[in-house]
Amino acid sequence: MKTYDIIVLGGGPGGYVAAIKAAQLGAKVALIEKEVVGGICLNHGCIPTKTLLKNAKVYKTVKHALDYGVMIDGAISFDWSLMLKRKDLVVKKLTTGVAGLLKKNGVEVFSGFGKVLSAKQVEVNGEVLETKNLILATGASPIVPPIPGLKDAYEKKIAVTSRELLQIKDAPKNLVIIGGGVIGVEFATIFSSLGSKVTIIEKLDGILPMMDDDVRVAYAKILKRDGIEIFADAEVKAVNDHEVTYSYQGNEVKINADTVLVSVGMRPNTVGLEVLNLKMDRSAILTNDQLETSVPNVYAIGDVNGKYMLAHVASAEGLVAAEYIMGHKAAMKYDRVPNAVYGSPEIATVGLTEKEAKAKGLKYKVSTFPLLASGKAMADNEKDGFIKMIVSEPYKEIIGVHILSYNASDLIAEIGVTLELEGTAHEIARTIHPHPTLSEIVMEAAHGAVDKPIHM
Amino acid sequence: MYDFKFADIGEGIHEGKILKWFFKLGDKVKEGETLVVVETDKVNAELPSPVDGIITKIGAQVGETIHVGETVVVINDGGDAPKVEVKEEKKSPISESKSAPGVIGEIEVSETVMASSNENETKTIETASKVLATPVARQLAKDLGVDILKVKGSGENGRVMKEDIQKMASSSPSSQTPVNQSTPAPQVQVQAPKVTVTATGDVEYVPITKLRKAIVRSMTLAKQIIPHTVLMDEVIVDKLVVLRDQVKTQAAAQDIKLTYMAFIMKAAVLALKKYPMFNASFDQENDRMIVKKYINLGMAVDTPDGLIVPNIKNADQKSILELAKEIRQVADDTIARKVQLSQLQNTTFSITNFGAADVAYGTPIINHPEVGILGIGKISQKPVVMNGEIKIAYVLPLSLAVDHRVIDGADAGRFLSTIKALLNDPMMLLLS
Repeated sequence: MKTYDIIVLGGGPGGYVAAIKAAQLGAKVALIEKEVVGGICLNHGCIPTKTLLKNAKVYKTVKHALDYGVMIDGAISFDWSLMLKRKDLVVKKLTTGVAGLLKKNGVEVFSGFGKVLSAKQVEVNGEVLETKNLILATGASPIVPPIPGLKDAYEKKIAVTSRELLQIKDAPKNLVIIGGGVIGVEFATIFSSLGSKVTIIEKLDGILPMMDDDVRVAYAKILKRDGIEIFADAEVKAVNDHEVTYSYQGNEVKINADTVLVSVGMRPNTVGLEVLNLKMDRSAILTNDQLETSVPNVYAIGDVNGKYMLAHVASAEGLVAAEYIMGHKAAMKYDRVPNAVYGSPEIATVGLTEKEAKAKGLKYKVSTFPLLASGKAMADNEKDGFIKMIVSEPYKEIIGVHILSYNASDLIAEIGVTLELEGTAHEIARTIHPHPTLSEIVMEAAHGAVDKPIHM
Repeated sequence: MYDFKFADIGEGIHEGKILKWFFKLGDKVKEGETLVVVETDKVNAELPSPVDGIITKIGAQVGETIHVGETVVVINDGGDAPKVEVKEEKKSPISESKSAPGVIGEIEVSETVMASSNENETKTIETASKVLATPVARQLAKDLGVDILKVKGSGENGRVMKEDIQKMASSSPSSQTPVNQSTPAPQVQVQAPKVTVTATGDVEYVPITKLRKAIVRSMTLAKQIIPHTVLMDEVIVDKLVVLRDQVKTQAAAQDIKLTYMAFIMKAAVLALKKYPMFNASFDQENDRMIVKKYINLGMAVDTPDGLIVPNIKNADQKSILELAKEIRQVADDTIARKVQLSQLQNTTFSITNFGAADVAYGTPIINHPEVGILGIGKISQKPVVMNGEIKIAYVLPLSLAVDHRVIDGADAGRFLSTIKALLNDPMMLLLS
């Protein structure tokens, strides 16, 4: 029987990172993946959507070529199948890359469904593998809520989850999105940019409920301006093939859709793990800051522990679990997880929202700086957005930053480092930011937190 | 090999002068035996040997100054590689009990006397190794008076995080004592204006001792910060004199020298209990009084090297006889420069006895950050008017200096009256 120090179940951004790190630290590691390594993120999530977003953005830019003095003769159109092809190529390159990394680091990869027999044994393709430690990284799957007719529509491929939408043959002319979270908003941007009529139906009081209020209000305005319809406080009552019925402001409204995207959340994949009898936190596996479960030597990372369903958190957890198993001191710090929404523009945040800061009773100061005052943004023909920086008094420690801007997701890393180092607005203000760059808005917001911005 | 380094005693003390070596190169030494006596600002500290072995190197000769982090001795303990003594920060303040070898590492500094000065600041930079710390942790350490060099960092690569400072501040009473906070920028305040003193004629240059330097600093600080006001009065103590004479011999039988000081201390304790604002510090930065729930009575001791103010801990929990016994003990230790640093810390109110110098009245200087000091004059027989007649009575002159920022003359008058009443009729002293 083959014996390992660690078996990792699932090859997504949590699992493959854990496997590589553990191998680098000298462990004998096996990784079991039932599909293609890379998980949802590489195959059906982050990467394919970002590829399509870029496609859509290029289309939109070309349509506005005149703004930049570029003349185009003839009609402008796009070929959806070519767009999908580019997406598949990017995905293929990345997943091949991950497979190569696993091999290079000596991780043994098993392709097949890993059936957990006990905390020490996993069966894959009829072979039983033995291990000292087990890392569960089985991910999560989109929820299809029990709305009358939805399951039926799903089987007829009228209703889809994000996964199917990424493979859809034709771009829908009319897209109805149930759920205004991150996934819903991203697909709304993609298809709206490509000319689809997009409607978002959200149960709560607005899109992106976890975001800072200033950001989500401003973002909803931008989406609406771009022609996306948003119905908040609205609940889908029934789906009858192409007809979606929802209640809104006391009325029952019917709307037609070529395609209905169901993006109301994800459920941890725990099927097949029952034998371990793990302590659960609702539908997710309960873990501590070292990713330990209630069963010794069994760890759970990524979506399956339900803490943050984000690829970068899964990877960070993978590192912590691997290091901890290999005897290093490691712990997750969940209070500084950055979060990004990709659309046009993007949203990136880390730390507390103003509402959270207020609820905690902190003494804080808010500093904002608009894109309109940035030279680089103007050169880039980008006007939408702002940065909102929240600092605690008296030291002006950065406790939360929310950026609504193109390329916001790249700007937020600077703040992540600052939070890790318990930095203050003083250090950011003092740091020389290159000119002209978008990063100057971070510095300006810091100046505002300390005293006043320069360019306002 | 054991490389014994001069440990960081605490804020304010970053160096010491070697006074005496008990061993020389090549001597055998046992763990716990006193190696050397080092003179620091306020105490002469005996450094015991941390290990058994043979001394293979002596770091500094008598008269030389040794800084924190420098080698005191290298002892061949049979081990191969040079071991550096790494000391964990002791969380609790030192007790009076004798401690394990390397006792000096546990001593914390008396913030009452040694508010950090520029001199010390510079030395910190010279002697301290760099410490990784976050910007918030650094500022917080400054504000809470925590020596960041002594904090063990919990962050990546031992980086000191704000949480480490908060823990340190809450676990270490001395660093938490708001004394440092209440001292408005001592670095600036303590520095006396630069006055160039030129010498003419036949002069001799006499360098001042470290103790004298400390006195210079604390007196300058007190006089610069505190607007003193002094109240003086005398009290007839005939009954006290009779009482003391009555019990003196009984006390002597218990080997206790019963002085008036013990009675006066008792009276002061009772008055402090009645007026807690006198047993307090003024935290100007935060606009508040820090009222102490304990009474550590300081007493000015005249030593051959200069003035030192040790205190009697928890004086409110001691009887007059116990006070008398401890006064003698602490005074003897202080004169012999054997007093522990802890004995100099956290004084809440002080008493100075200029009667010993054959003087009746004075204007004592408050020991910052306390808010009052009681000066005791010489008891003498004087003519007084009682019931319309001139009589001869024993009279004790008292001088009370208070911090007029927070204590008004009327308050001081009431406080002094309470002491006077208790000393005038000592039965109340015994009953309370």
